[in-house]
Amino acid sequence: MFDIDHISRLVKIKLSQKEKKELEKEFSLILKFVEKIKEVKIKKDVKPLRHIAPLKNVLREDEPKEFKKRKLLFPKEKKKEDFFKTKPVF
Amino acid sequence: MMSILEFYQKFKKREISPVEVTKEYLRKIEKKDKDIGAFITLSKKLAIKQAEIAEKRFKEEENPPLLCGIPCAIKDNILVEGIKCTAGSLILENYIASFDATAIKKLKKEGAVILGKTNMDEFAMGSSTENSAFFPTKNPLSKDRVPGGSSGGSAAAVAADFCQFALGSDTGGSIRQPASFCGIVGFKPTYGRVSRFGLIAMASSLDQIGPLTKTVEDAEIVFKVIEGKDENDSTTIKASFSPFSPVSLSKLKIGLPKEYFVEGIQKEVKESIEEAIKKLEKNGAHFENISLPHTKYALPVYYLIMSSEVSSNLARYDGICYGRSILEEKGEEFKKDFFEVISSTRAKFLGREVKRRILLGTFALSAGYFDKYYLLALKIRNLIKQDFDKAFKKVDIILTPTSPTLPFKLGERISDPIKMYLADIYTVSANLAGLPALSLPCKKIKKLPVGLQIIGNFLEDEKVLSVAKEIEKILKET
Repeated sequence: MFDIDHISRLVKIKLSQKEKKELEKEFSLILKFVEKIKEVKIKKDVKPLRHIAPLKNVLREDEPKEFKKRKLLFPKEKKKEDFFKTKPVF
Repeated sequence: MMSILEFYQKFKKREISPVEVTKEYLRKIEKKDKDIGAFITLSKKLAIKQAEIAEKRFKEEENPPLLCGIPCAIKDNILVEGIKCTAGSLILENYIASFDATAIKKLKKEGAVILGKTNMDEFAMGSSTENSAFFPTKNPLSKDRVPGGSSGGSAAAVAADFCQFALGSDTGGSIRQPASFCGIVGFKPTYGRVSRFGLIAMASSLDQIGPLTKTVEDAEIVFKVIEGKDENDSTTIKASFSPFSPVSLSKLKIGLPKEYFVEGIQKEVKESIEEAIKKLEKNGAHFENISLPHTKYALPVYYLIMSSEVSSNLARYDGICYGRSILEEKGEEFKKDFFEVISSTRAKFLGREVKRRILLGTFALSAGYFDKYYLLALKIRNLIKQDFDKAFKKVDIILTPTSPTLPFKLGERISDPIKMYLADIYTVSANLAGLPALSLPCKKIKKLPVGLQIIGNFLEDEKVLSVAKEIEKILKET
């Protein structure tokens, strides 16, 4: 069953009592809606389709390359020298 | 109404100047967008700078690229370096993009002028642009109606002539449905034709960037520029653009899936599409009834797969790396509790629909439910794709309505998630199967437009555009 406390802990979103109540109600409708898929009879040979692109994994040559564009990764205000600066969280 | 080619000719002959045109558009937006709400951010400085470069190119180069000096708008989930990129969410309210998306890099190289970033449902989750954390966008054709979503700001900007074209993103219909609601053209290319690098991810196996334009020809011009393999997106496909020679409708077989014309479709929409079919038949088109038997499961399958991918993609909004954080106000209090920082940040800065989808996705992926929901959905996704494979053995192209209804009123559906989800019922299948699909206007009921959708086989983007051009011509003539 859909246990809102358990799931909200998993996704790390704090929910108020009011929100929990409303979401529970909405979820009973949403789950009813998506559960329609259980009607479908699936033959054994049907494989799950995770991705549509007809691509195989391609590995590049294993040569070290230096990554110089660190500015791409860091928002300006959080870049300090070559490091990432954040407020203390521990 | 001008086309990109007309602009280009006028720029070339020096009848108008890119800088003047850009300033004129910016003035127009500043004056009139208060009533529409298409833009979240205007990038005035960047636009003027790009327009000046374009002007110079027209003086110096014999044949500058087609998009040189053409003013455009970009959905606010596509990164433009140095410009705020919010994805319609409070959590990214202060986020400034540190690089250009590949599609933007390509537009800039062509000389296109970026006027600003357009409004959208938060993280592209919604079908009306009412889920924007900032303000809803109104439909320029009828201001009490929604423009559709999630690329509602982009569609409204094109329909209100605040720009010549716009980029949007389409995960379950987010380009085509707003294009239909605003009476313009919207094109979702084959999955993999346009790089997703620099697109804020929602559901990675479904997301695709595409153009919203005034004509099919404009859509083709923009698509040609933004498509192509990209080393920064490993799912892009190498398929060089090959303009499909003009098609004669009489040589094509067009499929009409019976599942798209049944319950839930508004009478006016059904009649408009049937009228269009008759006109096309008179002009030599051959129609064939086909069946896509798993259509009725497409929407629930879509919601499970999309939500599952959402729950993973949105885990990065944790209040630490970028964007807004609960630490801004309560640093001291939370200092010792890592998880408290994350869960309070997400609670405060994510909207209701986003939370709903993260919760649903996590549930569908959780132990004990994975097989029942996510895995089963993936299997049915395969059946949906097989339906299309079979259909395309019989027909060249598929024609359907884009949306089951006319644009609905602001506020009409926002409190009922399921009702809102149903707005995407005709568009999600193309995303699940990765197919190219385009919406073009086919009729107006009073002020409200009806859109017609054309779905093509995998990688047949050029064919979709060519057929759409023919259909557009016939529907305009009569």
